[in-house]
Amino acid sequence: MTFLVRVAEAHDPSARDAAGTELGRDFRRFNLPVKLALAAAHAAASAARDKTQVALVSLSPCRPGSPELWRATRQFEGALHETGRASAVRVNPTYTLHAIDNLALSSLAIALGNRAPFLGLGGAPGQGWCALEFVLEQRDGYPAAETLILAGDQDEAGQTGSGVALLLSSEERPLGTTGRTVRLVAVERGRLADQAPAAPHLHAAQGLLRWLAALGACQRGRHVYDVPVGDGDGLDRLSIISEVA
Amino acid sequence: MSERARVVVTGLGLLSPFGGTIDELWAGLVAGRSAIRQVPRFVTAGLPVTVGGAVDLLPWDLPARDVEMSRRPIDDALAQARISPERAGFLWSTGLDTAGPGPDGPVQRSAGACFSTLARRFAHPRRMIGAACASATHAIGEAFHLVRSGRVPICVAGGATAMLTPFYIFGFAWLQALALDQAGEDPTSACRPFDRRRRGVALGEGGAALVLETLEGARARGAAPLAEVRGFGLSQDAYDLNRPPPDGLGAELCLRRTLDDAGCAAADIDAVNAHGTGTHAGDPAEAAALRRVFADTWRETPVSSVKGAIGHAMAAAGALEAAVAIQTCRTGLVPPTCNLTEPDEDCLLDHVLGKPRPARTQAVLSSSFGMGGQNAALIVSPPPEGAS
Repeated sequence: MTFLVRVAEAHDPSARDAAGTELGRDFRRFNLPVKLALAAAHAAASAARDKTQVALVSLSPCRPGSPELWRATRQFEGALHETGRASAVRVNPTYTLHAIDNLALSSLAIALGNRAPFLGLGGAPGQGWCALEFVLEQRDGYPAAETLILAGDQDEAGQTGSGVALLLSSEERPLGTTGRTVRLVAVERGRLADQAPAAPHLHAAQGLLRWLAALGACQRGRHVYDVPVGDGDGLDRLSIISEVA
Repeated sequence: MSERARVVVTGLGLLSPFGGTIDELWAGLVAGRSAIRQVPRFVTAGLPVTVGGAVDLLPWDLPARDVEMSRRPIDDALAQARISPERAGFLWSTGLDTAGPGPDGPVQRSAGACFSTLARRFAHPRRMIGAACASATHAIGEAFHLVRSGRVPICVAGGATAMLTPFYIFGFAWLQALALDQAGEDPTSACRPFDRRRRGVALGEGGAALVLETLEGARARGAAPLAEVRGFGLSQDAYDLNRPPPDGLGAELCLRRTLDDAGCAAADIDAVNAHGTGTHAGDPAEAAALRRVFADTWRETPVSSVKGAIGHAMAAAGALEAAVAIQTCRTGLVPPTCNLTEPDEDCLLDHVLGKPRPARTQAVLSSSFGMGGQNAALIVSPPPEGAS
């Protein structure tokens, strides 16, 4: 049995900077989706029974990088394209970190002192639902009683974004202070009928946030959330089944 | 606990700097040759590093080169296994975003979009794995667990990257991870894993795909297993973004979990395909972890790394190395670590120097320790008797 016991979101730049003080000195060097994912994860992890043993499931940003990195890349590749030489371009080494896929996972593990088995999912749309499936699988080699999923997104300009974190537990506990118990029952999939796959949004966090919003507004009982096609992977239709008590 | 299925590899495809087959890669490794060489466009560009392990089979200006770097190994693996992709799950790593040539200049190539393109023809699960240099080992291990638990009958797993680009040469050089060019140095000796003169990583590229399925399923359809996957383990260092703990604690934990998962003792391991990148901090930490795990047997457990020969293919490295571990099992030979001539005192292990070493190879450990502290390892064995 898998229960959703804490959810945290991060959108506000001041909140993410405040969280950074507890996430180490490197935090200020990170790009927006990583900062937002970490700020949300930091809040959700506070409800964990043992932060060092939680299985961390991290989603890489679907739109990695930062305005600084994109500018540097354009400058670099442009110089290379036009002159054949790139040696004159100067770039802050920190920006390289903004391209790395496991930055949030590594940083959170360091902050929590967590050496437990983990899952690092890449930046393809729809992987958030794979994270939920992974938790439901409860497989050998992942003995952790709790799992923390974290994800962050940013817009095309790298100016706004969202972070989300979900703490799931095999122990029946209420979801935060809502007084409700939410059991994650299943992720159901079927191939989309449309032969031409729909182009999904570039999201790691947004799809999960929309599901959580629907879950928060639902009545007690069985809740079936049909994932909007744009929030999926472009190939499957998905439904998330929960029991709310 | 329910009985676990035995998991075998029935298909293997790859692209490496030595060529497009395991035989070409193996021939280069056992001969002690290095495929790392000067990349002319890096010289022209005036980069601080002009060498790398390039896959010349794919011209660098090939459109969608990133997709092709994955597609060829995947198709070869599927063909060998005689499996159609719609019957298989897909756990794959495509590394990081890159830039590729476009009609009006460079265009961004998204690693996520590359994965989505490749995933279309596969069944569920379709999981993109992103854990830096441990990604492909992580992908193969996840597939192994899914098949072993009976959740998925067949999976294609591994990874490929086309990150041998000027931008990443610059980027990783800035992070002080790469062996910078030295005047007069032979490009083929840029990377020297575990050696006293090691200076850092030589960047590489390539890809490898494995088809994993149950032994029972392979037998039922008459497929010949190439190897058995016995165990998989993971850990995190929880230490630093750029370097491992000097005592290799995270790596040690990963190796012990892998042994536990396989139901093996350290003494059962016959050879180690090490991560061995040639960095100042990484190699001694890995050696320390191996010495502790193999407490009584480390002096007679042969260890080799392929990165002196093909470079570090980052998110694909673990898949290429799993292929090498499988070939080690099949041939009974442990390849030498190319460019390792003077093992560092901090890296003492039973290194294979100069030429391949015949060995009992009933269980080979292959490990990947990613930047940022994600660690993953696999144990592979020859196929069960009578299975081939």
